[in-house]
Amino acid sequence: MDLPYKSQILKLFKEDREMWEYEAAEKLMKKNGISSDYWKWNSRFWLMELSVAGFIVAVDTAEDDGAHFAKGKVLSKYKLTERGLQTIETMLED
Amino acid sequence: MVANAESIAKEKKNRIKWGFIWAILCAVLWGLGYVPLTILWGVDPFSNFVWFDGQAGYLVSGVIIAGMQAIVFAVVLLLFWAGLTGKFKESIKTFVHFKISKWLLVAALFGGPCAVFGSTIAIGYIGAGFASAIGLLSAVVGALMAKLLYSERFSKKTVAGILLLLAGGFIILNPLDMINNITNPAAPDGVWLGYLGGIMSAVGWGLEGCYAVRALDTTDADSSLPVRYTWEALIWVAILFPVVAVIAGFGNFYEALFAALTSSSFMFWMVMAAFTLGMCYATMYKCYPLIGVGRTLSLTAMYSPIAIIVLFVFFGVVPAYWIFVGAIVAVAGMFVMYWESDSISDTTREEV
Repeated sequence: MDLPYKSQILKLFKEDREMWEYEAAEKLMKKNGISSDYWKWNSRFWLMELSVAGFIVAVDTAEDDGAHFAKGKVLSKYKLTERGLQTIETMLED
Repeated sequence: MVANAESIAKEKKNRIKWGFIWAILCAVLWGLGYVPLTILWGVDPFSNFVWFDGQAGYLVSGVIIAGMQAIVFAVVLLLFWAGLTGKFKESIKTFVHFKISKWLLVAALFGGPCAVFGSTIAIGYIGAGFASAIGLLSAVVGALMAKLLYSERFSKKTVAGILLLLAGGFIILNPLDMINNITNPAAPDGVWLGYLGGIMSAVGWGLEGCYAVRALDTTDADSSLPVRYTWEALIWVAILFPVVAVIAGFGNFYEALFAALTSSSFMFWMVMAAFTLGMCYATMYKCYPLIGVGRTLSLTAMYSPIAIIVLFVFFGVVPAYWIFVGAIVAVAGMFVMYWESDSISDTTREEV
């Protein structure tokens, strides 16, 4: 069975070490055949949680012109950290 | 266009703000939870518990109440909370991945048979006011363990806040009164079991957070909590109920359990407990990733003064003066921590 979404979105960073949050969210949704604002915003929330835990770190930011989440929101480009990689390897891989 | 520092700071503030909102909501629900938990001891079949008497009666009642709590909470949270948030399937995915799920199993062990059962017998032997007050110490256990296990960052103000909460907890607990109670020859038999249960609840809840967060690192809070309760329900049904049944007498135990299951007033108040205590857990699990385990447990310590007020409103239990003093000190501790929110850094943990 697939991993839970939040685990999957972290794991995506092993392939692409750096991603804008909307890229990661789109990739997750495409992979799982889901597309809705609900999961898009949930993805953004999970990425924020993952950054608080220190697994990914924001390396760039931009202001959303309304094309991705909502106008005026901060968009972050995240990069996988060493701790994030360790977590993927110990918890999310067989 | 690079986002300006102001909007980045605003987003961070937003995260902290939501962490605090969930924590306060958790404290209110937790405090309210002592109402159904108290009533459970007074309704059929526990109001007139015919299968066991004396100490054995209290302990078996405690086992049945705590175990039923896990089962009912698991069902309610899975259907209501995971269902409402559209994360039912996520819960199943979380449950079957044992590398993630095992941390929720450990959390369930500490949170259930240790903390909830301990708190249940503390309510039964001593009273809900005491049980809620001693549970405050879980904030300290959790904060220290979070520091040890995850190097969670504490600023001076966080430490000051924790110390104030601790001081408030101690005043509420009133160790002098506790010692008098235990050593008083006129005290009811087995009152020490109530204190032991209280300590179990403090240690259990503190450790639960520290292990649950390992799973929450990579899973969603809304879908993980029902998994934690499913594990706990399984532990009770598959291990603890049979063990207690063998010790206490098979027929009597399952007859008592069946009586609880079929008592409509018992089941009604259990579902009420699920919507207060169970939901308080849902908000608590949302807090952990947002503001860290230590800070969550310290903030949610507000549940104790709330419980004391609620118990007064619903049951007319008049708290002693030291409980008011302790509550004021604990609230002061919370404000000290809130003022610290500006200095909470981007991650809750030390850099590696």
